[in-house]
Amino acid sequence: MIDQGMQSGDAPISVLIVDDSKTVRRYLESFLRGRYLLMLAADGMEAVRCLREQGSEICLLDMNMPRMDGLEVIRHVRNTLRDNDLYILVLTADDSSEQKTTALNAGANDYLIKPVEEAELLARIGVAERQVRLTRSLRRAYAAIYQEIDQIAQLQRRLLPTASPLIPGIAVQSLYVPSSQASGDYFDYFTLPDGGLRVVMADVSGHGARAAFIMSMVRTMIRFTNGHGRDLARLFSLINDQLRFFVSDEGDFVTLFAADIHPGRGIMEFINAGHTPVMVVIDHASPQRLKATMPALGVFPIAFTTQSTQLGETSIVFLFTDGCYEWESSSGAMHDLETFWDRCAAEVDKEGFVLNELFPLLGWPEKPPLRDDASALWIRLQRSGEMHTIKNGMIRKQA
Amino acid sequence: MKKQLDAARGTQGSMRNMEYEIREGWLKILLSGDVTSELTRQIKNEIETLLDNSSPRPIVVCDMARVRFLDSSGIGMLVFLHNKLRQKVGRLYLYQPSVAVRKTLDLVQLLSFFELIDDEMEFLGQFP
Repeated sequence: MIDQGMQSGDAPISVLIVDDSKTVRRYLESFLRGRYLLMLAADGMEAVRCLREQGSEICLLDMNMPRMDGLEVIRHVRNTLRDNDLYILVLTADDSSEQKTTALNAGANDYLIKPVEEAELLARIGVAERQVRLTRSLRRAYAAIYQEIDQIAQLQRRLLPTASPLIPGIAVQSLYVPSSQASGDYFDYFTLPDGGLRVVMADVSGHGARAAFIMSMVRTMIRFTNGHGRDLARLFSLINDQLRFFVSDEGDFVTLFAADIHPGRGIMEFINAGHTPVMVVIDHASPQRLKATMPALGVFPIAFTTQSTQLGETSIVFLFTDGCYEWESSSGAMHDLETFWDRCAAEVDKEGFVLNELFPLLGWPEKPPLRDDASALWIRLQRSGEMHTIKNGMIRKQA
Repeated sequence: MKKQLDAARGTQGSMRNMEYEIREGWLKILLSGDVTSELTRQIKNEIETLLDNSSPRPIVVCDMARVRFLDSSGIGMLVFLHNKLRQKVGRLYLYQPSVAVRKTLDLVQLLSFFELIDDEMEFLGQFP
C-alpha cells in the first residue's frame, strides 16, 4: 500500500516564490513563513538558476517579468530540466483566458488571478502540498520495490555458475546480460555422477521478478535431481509437470535445452524443448543446428525423448537465448535468428574466441539496446583431454 | 450475403496495439505492431475483463495478421488466453497470424498448440 506521506516526520515542503515585485514577494513570504521552506527569485532567470541548483517542490510563479517571463520558466522546467514533479502555481494579474490556456498547456498545474484572497491562495497551495506528498510517497514506494527487485537480481546472479568445470578437455565461457534487474534467463553446467557434463540453457517467458522466481524453481529442480540418476527425459517431465501445476494459469512457460556431454564416449545426449537452436561445430566443419523438437515447458503434457549427436576430436557447442538477437537496430530494423546464426557461425570456432566480446565481434554495439535478457554459453570439447580453466574471459591450459 | 470477419460491428474498444469488437456469439481481438511485455499485462487485464462478462463457452478470434513482433510474454499472453478459455469451455482461434508470429510460435514448438484460421468464410460458417 502506498504510504500517504502525511506523517509529522515528513521533511518540510520547499516553495519557490518568483515575482519581480518586491512587495508581492514580501507579502507571500510573510504568510507562508513557518509553513514551508521558502526560496525567493526576482525574475525567471533567477528562478531557473534556483531550480537547477537547489530544486523545489512548489513554485508560485508570476507571468509578466523582465529578462525571462513565467511562460519561459514553465517551458524550461518541463522541457529542459525535464522536471515534471515541480508543482507550478501561476499567480498573475493577467486574466486573459488565452494566457491561462497557454500556461496550463505548457505545464502549469494551476492558475490564479491576482489579487487573490489569502484563504483561497492557502487552499490552492494546500492542493499543491497534497500532490507533493503523494509524489514523495510514490517515490518512496518505487525505491522500495526497486530495492527488492535488486535483491532478487543479486541472489539470481549467485545462482549462475562463474567457474569453468575442471573436466579434462572441456572449456566453458558464459555471457549474461540482463535487460532489467531480475531476469528469466538461466544457464548452468555441472559434472554428472558418471563424470559427464550436464549443460543447461533456459529462458522463462517475460522478464522481471516473476520470471526470476520461475527461473529459480527450474534451477532447483535441475540442480537437486543431479546425483539421483535422473536422465534428461525424466528431468524434463518433472519440470514440465511442476510448471503446469504451479504457473500455467498465467501463461508462463519455459524454453529449455539440456545436454549430457560424455567426452570420453564422444557423444552428447540432449533435449531441446522450445529453445532457440543450439550450434554444434564438429572438427571445424559447417555448424549443425540442434532445433527444438519438443514444445516449450509448462503448457501441456509431453512425452519427452532424448536425442544424441556424435562429437568429434574438437567440438564447439554454442547455446544462446533469443534476447541475443531480438533487438532493434538504430534504423528500426529488428535483428533475427538467421543473421545472428550466420555471424556466430563465422566466429565461435575461431582460436581465441572470447564470448564476452560477442556483440562487437558480430559487428554490433558492445552494449546493444536489448529488449530481453541475453545469455550465451560456449563450450569447447577436446578428446585429447587437456585441462582448461577460464580466467577473466580467457581460456588457459592448466599445467 | 457474404459474411466477413469485418462485417456487422458490435461493441468496440481499443488500446495501443489492440482493438476488440464484441460480435454475436464471439469476440474479435485485433493485435498489431509489437506485442511485447510492455503491453501484454494490459492486454491480459483487458481481455480478462471482457471474458468475465462474456457468455458461457466464449469464442475468441485473435486477428494477428498485423503483428510485426511477438516476444515470449506475447506468446505467454496467448497461452494464458487459451487456458482461460479452456476453463470456460470456450475456444481460441488465431486468425491469419503473420509470418513473424508463425516463426516465433514454431520456434518454441507451440504453433500446433493453437487453432489457426486462414479462411474467414470457413470460420463464420460455424455460426448459424
